[in-house]
Amino acid sequence: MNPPLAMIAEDDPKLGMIYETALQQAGYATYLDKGGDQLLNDLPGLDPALIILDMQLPYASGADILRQIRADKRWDKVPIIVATADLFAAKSLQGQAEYVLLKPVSVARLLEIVNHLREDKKSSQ
Amino acid sequence: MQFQFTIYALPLILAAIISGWVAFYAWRYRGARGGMALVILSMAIAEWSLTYALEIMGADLSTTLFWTKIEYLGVVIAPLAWLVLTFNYANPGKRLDRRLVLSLTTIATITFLLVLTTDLHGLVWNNIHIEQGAGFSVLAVSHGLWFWVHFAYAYSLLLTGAFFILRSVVLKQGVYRRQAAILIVAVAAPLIGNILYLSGLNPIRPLDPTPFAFAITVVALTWGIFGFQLFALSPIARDTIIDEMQDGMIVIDTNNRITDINPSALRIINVAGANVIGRSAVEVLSPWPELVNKYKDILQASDEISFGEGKDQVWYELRLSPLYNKRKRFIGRVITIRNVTASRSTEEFKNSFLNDITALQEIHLALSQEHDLDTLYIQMIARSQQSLGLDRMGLFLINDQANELQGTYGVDETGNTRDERYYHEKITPDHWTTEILDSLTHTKVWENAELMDNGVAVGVGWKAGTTLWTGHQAIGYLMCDNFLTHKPLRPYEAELLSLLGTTFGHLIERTRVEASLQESEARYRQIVENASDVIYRTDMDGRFTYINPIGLHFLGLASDAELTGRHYLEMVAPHFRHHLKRFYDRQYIAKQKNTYQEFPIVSTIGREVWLGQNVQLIEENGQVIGFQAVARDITDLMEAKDALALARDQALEASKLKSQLLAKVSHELRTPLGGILGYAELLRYGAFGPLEEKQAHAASQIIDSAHYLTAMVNELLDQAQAESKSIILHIDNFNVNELVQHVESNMSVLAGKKGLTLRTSIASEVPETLRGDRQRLQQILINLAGNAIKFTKTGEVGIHVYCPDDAHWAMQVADTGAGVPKEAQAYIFEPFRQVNNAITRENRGTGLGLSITKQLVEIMRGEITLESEVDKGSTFTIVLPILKDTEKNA
Repeated sequence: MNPPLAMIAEDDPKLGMIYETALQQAGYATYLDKGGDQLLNDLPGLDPALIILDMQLPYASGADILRQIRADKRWDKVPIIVATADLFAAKSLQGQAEYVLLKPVSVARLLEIVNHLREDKKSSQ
Repeated sequence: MQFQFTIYALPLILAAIISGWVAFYAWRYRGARGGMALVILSMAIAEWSLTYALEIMGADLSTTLFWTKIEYLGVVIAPLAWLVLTFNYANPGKRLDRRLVLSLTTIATITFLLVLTTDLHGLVWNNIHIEQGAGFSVLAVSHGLWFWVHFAYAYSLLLTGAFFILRSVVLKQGVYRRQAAILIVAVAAPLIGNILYLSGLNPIRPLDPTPFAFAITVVALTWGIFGFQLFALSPIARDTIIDEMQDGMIVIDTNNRITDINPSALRIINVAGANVIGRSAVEVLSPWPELVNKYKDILQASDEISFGEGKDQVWYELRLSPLYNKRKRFIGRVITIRNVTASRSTEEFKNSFLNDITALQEIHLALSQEHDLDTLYIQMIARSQQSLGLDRMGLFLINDQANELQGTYGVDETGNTRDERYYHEKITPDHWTTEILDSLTHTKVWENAELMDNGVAVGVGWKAGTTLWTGHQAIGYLMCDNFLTHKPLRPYEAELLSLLGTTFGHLIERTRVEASLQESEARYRQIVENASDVIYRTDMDGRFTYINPIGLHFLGLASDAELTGRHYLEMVAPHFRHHLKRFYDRQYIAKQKNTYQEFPIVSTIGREVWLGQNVQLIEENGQVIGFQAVARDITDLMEAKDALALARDQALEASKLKSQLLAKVSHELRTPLGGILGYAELLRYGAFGPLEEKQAHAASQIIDSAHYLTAMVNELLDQAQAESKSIILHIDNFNVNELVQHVESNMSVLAGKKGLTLRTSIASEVPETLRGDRQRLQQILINLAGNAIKFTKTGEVGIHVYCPDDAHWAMQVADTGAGVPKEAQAYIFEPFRQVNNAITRENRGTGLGLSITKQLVEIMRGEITLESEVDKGSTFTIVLPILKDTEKNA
């Protein structure tokens, strides 16, 4: 069985690398979109277990991406973790994503969430 | 007795009837002087005529003789009655001498007795026989001695009476003259008749025509009675009036001899009872020598003369009138003397009262123009002395508390005005002034009183007091006495003083009111004229009726004179006039009492000047007659307001910028922090291979620092948000136990690291579920617990939740740490403040935690308090309202 896929949209390469490393450690395959313009295109061919979204991306708005994913029935069950440096954005998105994290995102917190999701998935299966 | 009828008896009987009737008629006038005499005369003639008729009808000697004797009763009485009658007629007010009347009566009586007894002695008649005439018989006799006595008696009386009548005819005029003429006929008839009889020229010899003549007399008298009302009319009435009137009347002839005088005149010249008729007037009037000298040769005059002094003084009015007869010949003068003392003293009283009232009026008029109170008092006294003849007087005022008399001015013992303003006298309950107040006219006169000067008795006389009456109250007293002049009281002294007191009271009151009005007018004028605000009044049309000096300056006018006809809109900037006019038209129509409006005016100084104006309607009897306005230069105020608004906008902008900046800074810090924290964690967790102990420690240190920095960024951003009041609470139900557990699990690691115990407890009365913003409450609790752990070295930190009352719940965080000094407790909740500003390793932080906590608590409508003692510990208590399900507290 293939490892679950975590799709990441993050323009900061350091943060992208941290998320990938942490998630790979946790047993995820990772996909990273550094501009924000690819994730939505690639999404139909992939089946992510979770998506990590930054809000400020070079070619797209994280909020738009979030809305479009949520608007599509195919992905509406995919847990989304919003990671933003903008407090107001974080507040305004409360409830629209499964998790809204304010940067800096602690690796410990991220792993905790992943564990939660796994347990949720197990319990729902 | 034997009678034979003869025709000659008829006229005699007729004469008797007429005379009898006259007697009957005159009887009614017997009370009038001469009336009784006429009655007796008439009766005597009636008797004479009737008995004479019987005599000539006698048929024999004895019959004729008998009646002849009886006839003499009338014959002897008639002349005497005639004399009395004529005397009384000619000499009004006089009586015939009694002795004369008595002796004449005696003669008459003797005659009658001798006639009755003449048969025996023949002294009257002898040789008595009957002489036959034409169908009648009369007694023929020879006359004895006494007959001639009787003859003399009868004729002298007849002639004397005739003389009286004739003399009065000369003096009397008009109707009295004609009356006298008739009397002459009455007189002449018996005389002529008798002369005819005695002279033998008798046409009807041997008949005596005397009775016939007397009948004529009686007829003449009757004519006199019917035609001239001889007794009923004037002469007697006139005499009565003249005799009994109070006025004296003296008639003097051309030789200045008194020819008539009435009893009053005799009384007046004090010669009552004396016979002054015929005496020289100069002699009789000797008590009045001046008058005699003055009027001796004056025909007509009128004068007033007086005798005696004081109460005994008597005044007479004296009139002198010439007398002329019908031919305009001067025949004498009449003096009338009238006692006018009573009317004169009434007149004098009236005149002097009127003079004093006039003087009072003049004083009132003169002093009405006086504005200075002291001058007024002095003038009141001086003028009262001059014009009203008052003596010593003083004016006393009642003070405001009505318990003291205060002196003003008075008169000293030499009659000069004296300043008595030093004088004060307590008004006690039985004060002497109550006697004045108790009297009906507020005026009291004390006669034979002790006269005082400054409380010292100085003499005896009358004194009087009255109130200074304003028309509704007594404001003081006017006192006066007769110390200087000893003048007696005038009959109207009290009335005059009462009027004077009222006049003065009104004057003083008016002057006082005027003074206080002037004072307040001056005060208000000063305020208005020195005001920096424009104050003006306009008429209904908006034309100025008054403007204060600053207003004139605003209008660019030099004086009030230029104000006439100017309109308030001229003051207003042209583009604003229409708007302002509509505004004030509306105020007028709506009868709005007060308005405030701001407008720019025509400015002479180059920049726009604004006025803020309060306008009130001026109403009179419910009619709006104009406006009054107070306007203030609000240019600076407007500018300041604009500047303030700008500053506010700028401040708001700056604040927004600050918030934006902080948000930006926060954002820009968070991304690299993510890198630091993430890499350090990956390192620490061995993502890049296992670490040595020192390496692992270093990674941990980086993680700690990154967490600290993250906390700093969070606080800074939250503070920025709190300042912009943009914190929004998310109220929902929450489980108190979960809240406390969460905080405990977060903080216990930290506490454990410092070797502190963290205790939590929830009181039983606290509901399981409460409403509130759980995230924020958690933030508050973590903040306080974090502080407590941070500043406590040993001991414990406790979190306790309880309900102080039914409506509130509370969170308490207590520690056993350093404590907060008293002086620091005041500012500990301010931003960026810590107890000790020196940053140490232990207490590092932004200093914003408590400030944010306090603001959050206040947004939740709660209260945070601190109880602390240095080295013992601190307890923070947050009391919050228990919210109902539907309530939101933001």
